[in-house]
Amino acid sequence: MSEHPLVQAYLADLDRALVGSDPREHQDTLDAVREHLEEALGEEPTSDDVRRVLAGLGSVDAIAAGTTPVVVPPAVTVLPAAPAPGRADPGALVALVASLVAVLTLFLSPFVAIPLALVALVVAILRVRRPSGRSTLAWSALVVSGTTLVLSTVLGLLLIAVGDSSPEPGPVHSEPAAER
Amino acid sequence: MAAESDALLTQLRKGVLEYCVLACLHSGRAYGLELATRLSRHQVLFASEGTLYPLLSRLRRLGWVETTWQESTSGPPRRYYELTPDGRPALEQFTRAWEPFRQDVDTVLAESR
Repeated sequence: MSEHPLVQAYLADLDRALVGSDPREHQDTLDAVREHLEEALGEEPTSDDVRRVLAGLGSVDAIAAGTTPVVVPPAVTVLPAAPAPGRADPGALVALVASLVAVLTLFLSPFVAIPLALVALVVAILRVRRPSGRSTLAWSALVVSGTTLVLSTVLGLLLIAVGDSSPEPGPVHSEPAAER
Repeated sequence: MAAESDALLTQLRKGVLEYCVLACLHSGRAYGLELATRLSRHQVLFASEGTLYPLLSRLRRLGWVETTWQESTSGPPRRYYELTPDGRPALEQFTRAWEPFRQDVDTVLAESR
């Protein structure tokens, strides 16, 4: 029986149809159907016998539909671990330190303070937007860096404006010595 | 229409077919082909013989059915299915629940006519 091509094709189809079924039911069902065919067909069945028995078994899809689907665990999205309560958010801390350094360099060189404050502001915004990131530290960094950025930008623009409006020194003319 | 009817029958069979298989084994053990032939006489319940085997697998996992191998004089060894001590009370519980359930469904349908 097992060598008849129609039987081999049917069992192969059934095996494929059972993909996605619970593994134990997959194997049990395949074994049981094979035993059913061996019992029903004997050693040398005719093709008509085989077709009749396969028709009685029904479609492989109908058989597979009666199995339990394998349960696939839902995809787990791994979020970065939120800082433990009571512990400072390291990202917010970095943003606050950077914004304080920007404040310190504000009057030394606003053109250094601007990029520093900008980076601090971006990091602070990212930390505040996180569900677990709404800490005082993150908000403080946001406020300080934002303020520093505005001030350093204004200061930088003023310096540029003052530099443009100051008269350019002309060539130096030395008075000729008075003729005696 | 035929597809809708098939879908309806599929829903109705759920929760019932496994107990019908247990009922077939109540009188004694049977091998797969024997069970399939007996059940296939009831075409509304079992449209195809092959659908018996996933049910038997689940009943084995539930511990309500177990299998044993028996040598056969007429061919290869046969796998026999039989009720376990846990399977019998499960069948009895279904049998107690089925009759009032069936009567209520019949009554509601009759009242709707």
